[in-house]
Amino acid sequence: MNARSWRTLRRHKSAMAGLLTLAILTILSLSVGFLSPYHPRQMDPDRLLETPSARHLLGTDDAGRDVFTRLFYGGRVSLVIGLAAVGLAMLAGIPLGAMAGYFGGWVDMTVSRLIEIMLALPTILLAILIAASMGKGMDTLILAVGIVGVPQFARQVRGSVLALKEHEFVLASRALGSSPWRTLFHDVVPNAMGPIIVLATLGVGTAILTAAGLSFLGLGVETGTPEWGAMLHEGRRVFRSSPHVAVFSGLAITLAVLAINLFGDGLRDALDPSSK
Amino acid sequence: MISYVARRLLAAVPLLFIVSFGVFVLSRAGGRDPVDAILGEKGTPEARERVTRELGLDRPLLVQYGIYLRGILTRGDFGESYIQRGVKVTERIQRRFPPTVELTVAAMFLAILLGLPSGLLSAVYKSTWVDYLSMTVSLLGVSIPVFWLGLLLILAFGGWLPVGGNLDPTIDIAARTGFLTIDCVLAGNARALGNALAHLVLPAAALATIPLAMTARIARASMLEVLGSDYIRTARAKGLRGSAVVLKHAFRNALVPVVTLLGLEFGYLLGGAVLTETVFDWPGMGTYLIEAVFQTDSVQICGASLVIAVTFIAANLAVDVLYVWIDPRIRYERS
Repeated sequence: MNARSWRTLRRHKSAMAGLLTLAILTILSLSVGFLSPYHPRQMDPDRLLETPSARHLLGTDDAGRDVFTRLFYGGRVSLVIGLAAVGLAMLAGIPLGAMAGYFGGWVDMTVSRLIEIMLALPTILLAILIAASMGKGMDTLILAVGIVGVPQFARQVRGSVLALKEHEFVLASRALGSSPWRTLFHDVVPNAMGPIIVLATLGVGTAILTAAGLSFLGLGVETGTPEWGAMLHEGRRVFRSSPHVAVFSGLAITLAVLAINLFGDGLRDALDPSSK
Repeated sequence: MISYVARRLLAAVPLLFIVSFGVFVLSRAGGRDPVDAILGEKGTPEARERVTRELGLDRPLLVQYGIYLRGILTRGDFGESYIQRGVKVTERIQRRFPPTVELTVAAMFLAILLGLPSGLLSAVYKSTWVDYLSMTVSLLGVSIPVFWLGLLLILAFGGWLPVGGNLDPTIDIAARTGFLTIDCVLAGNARALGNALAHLVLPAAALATIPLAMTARIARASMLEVLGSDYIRTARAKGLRGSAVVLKHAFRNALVPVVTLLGLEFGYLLGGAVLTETVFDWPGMGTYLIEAVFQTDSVQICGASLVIAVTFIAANLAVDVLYVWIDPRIRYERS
């Protein structure tokens, strides 16, 4: 990323608003242990489903747990799931796409078919099937959401590498005697990073939404874990009489994803001026 | 054109085989062991072996898949549940598929009806309040979880509109096509039709948000590109009125990318339907799949997933063909 891109990004008002929101969410999530006197799993049978008050800023849920505390502990869980899932998708998707684009032939055939097969299923269906076959838990959730993200990265990188590989700097690298692998991962892939960074940023938002969706269906994290989707799942049971649990947890998801989308769009404008 | 369509159809065949095999394997992994389900805890090793053989579970996975697939292709038979004995998956699918189609079609209709004009207007009135409003709403649309929006809609409109199922249980409509709205029309029952449509409003509105937002964003980008092109400048230079340029010259060409997006949106709709149906207790394929997952019923998981997957692939194929028909330039080159 060069100086001009930084400048464009810093002047991008909505991107900065998104970044600021994300920063606040992250700081609150990390410091919730100091800010709140409650434990996220601490139940209080005398205070079930209380509406927001000075004692419980965002009220309590149907087990008497403090919603504010759970919301920001949940922020840690949801953000970690989003980041880890995207990390996983990149780890598998980038090399696959890069090799397909660079080596062509049967490698490309195989990878392209694989991408096509994975994209032939609606994301949430694939995620449901993976989550259902592996059982509940945060690691399963990350794996399920990560796997469904792989084809997006593979496809993007394959396209970029295809476009880059005939450039002179690649020929130069080969002429200098670099091995194909070195040329690919040292020269080609770093030059394809712009779109990947954008995709990864927006991907975190999608991953949070997918993970929350699975948890909302009851297929995500273990029961009781403070996670936004799971809180919505629990809040739904008492939704008609006490909407605050579901309303606040959904608001948290929306705010986080909105902030990520704003920042991601700004990044795209900064890294790729032609896309404006 | 015909050869292109034939090629596309042929290419979809291996894809369907591989995807269905993948779904078959994953469903098996997600379901309870059929032998356990039938014999319970008290199965002796001999009994277990006998049941395993009877069900053909001792044969290679690929053979089991072949037998399953033959049942579907020759008799339309998706098998019978091991968990709920006597439940025929085909019958369940016949009952649960039409409501999902009705819901997705209603949502798609809403998305195009509202998304297309708002995107096009945003482009024509770029950088005015129309543009900002419509882009803000569409950004919200892609960020909001559909299941939360569903709950909010229930909270806001639950007093006026029905929020569970697709028909009042007191109304009895003979199932002829399975599509409730069509059955109501066939029965000539206006009250039932009104009731069915009222049940559709909130789930369809919730489900429509993401495709609506996507349509608006793509329509705006595409219209902006068209409006900036040379032939539009020529048309303006000839002295044509602004509205004539926009409606007669730009509109049609701006539609092309929107059509390509339809396939992608259909995927979102089918996926989003799983979540939306859960929120509104809609008796469709999504809730059917989730029920099957919670019963760890591999046969029903597999049937439900296969139908959703095949519908998705078929919709994408249809869009690909439609795309070629709309934009003849890419007819034969695109493979």
